[in-house]
Amino acid sequence: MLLEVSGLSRSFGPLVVLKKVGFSIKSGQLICLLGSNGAGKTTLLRVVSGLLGADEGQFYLDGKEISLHSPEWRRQVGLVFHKTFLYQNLTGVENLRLFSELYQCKHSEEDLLQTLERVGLRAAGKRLVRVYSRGMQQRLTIARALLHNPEILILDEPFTGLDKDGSRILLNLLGEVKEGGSMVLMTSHDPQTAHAITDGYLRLYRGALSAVVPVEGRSWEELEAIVYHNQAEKVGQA
Amino acid sequence: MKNWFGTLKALVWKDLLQEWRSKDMLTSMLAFAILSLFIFNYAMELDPLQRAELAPGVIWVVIMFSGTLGLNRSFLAEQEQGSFDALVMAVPDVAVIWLAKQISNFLIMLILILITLPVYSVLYNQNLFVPLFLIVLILGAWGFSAAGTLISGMTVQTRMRDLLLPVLLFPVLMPVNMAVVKAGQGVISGADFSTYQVWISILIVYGIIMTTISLLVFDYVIRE
Repeated sequence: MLLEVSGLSRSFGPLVVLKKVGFSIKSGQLICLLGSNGAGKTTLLRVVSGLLGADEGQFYLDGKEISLHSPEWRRQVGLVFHKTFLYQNLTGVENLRLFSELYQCKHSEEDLLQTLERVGLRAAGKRLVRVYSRGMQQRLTIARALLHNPEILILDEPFTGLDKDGSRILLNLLGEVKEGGSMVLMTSHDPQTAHAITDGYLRLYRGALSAVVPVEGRSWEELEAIVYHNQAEKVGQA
Repeated sequence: MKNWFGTLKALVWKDLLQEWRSKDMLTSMLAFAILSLFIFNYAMELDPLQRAELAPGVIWVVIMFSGTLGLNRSFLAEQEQGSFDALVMAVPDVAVIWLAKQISNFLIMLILILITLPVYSVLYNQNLFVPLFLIVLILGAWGFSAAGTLISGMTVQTRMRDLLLPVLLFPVLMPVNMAVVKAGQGVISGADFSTYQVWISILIVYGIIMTTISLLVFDYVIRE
């Protein structure tokens, strides 16, 4: 599966947040989106997920134009954003069961407990989410996002709030998701953490793509220079 | 279609289970309703004939204001942790989110009605458990929750939602308010059915129209 985005623009009133952004991502790839605060990363993720409409832009899935706002597309996406999307007065298992029913996954109770085990939360599964720590909620959010085996997993700063164990679990899960043939698009202020499983970097600068850098076996130090040098060149041009 | 109803059932169950555990809506609604009935009781010393005439109005005003308090909180769980976005991503049709919330709000309104009526009966020494009056209140509650859930979905993202909801909702509810009070007066006073039949018809038509409109526009409303 190949998702191609071209000419994507989005404004909020007079504020132009995304300017003619274009990139592609294929099955089994993990692309990391870089950029300073306000560069437009979250807006880009929201548009690609279908939660936010684009002012302009074309989207192709395997060469066929699609609408990102259609329920068919949205139901293929797994989302992890800053907010946990969890119901605080439901238990961990109940949250997963709810979304399992909404996605019509037909998971058994044991399936849900195993999903919780993947993120190290099996023991806490029967507790209300409101008593979970921030890190536990983040893990449950990740479990919820993976529940329906999405074609594309979109994560906005997924390592925020996670301790070392949590980060390790997330890295393993992202590796499994890639191996399973799904696409992963994520933002991170600490891209080194996931460098080992990252296939490419996109850098947004003031809403425009300033660098598109495939990893191709290079170390983070090498890539960092390319990504940031490239950005400096674009700024110079602007 | 089976999937649609499965989704609806899961969402209604989620709302009711959350409300059972948090009692966010019911506590404030019941407290307000019972206090209002006390205040009306002391403020208006009425003879039995006047009571019969005013009962439907007093009951409906109390239910409507209490219901508005509850509506303000009905999307709170979705708002707090952004789970509305997760629902939008997961459901096959966004309208099902509205219908589930509307049904949950309606069921909570029914609980409110079933608690408010005996309290009124004790305070005012007047039995309001008349089947036809209950039907009028149920039809009114359906219309109220249909309009209220749509407008609550619109205002939940705004900073002034506590103020905006009643300002936008009450004018839309005018036909329901008039119909409940007029039909209720007819039932309680023992008038002939034909004299208030038109008001019951208005309640039914209002419920159907408001439900249909909401199902059609909810996707647009939440996107904007």
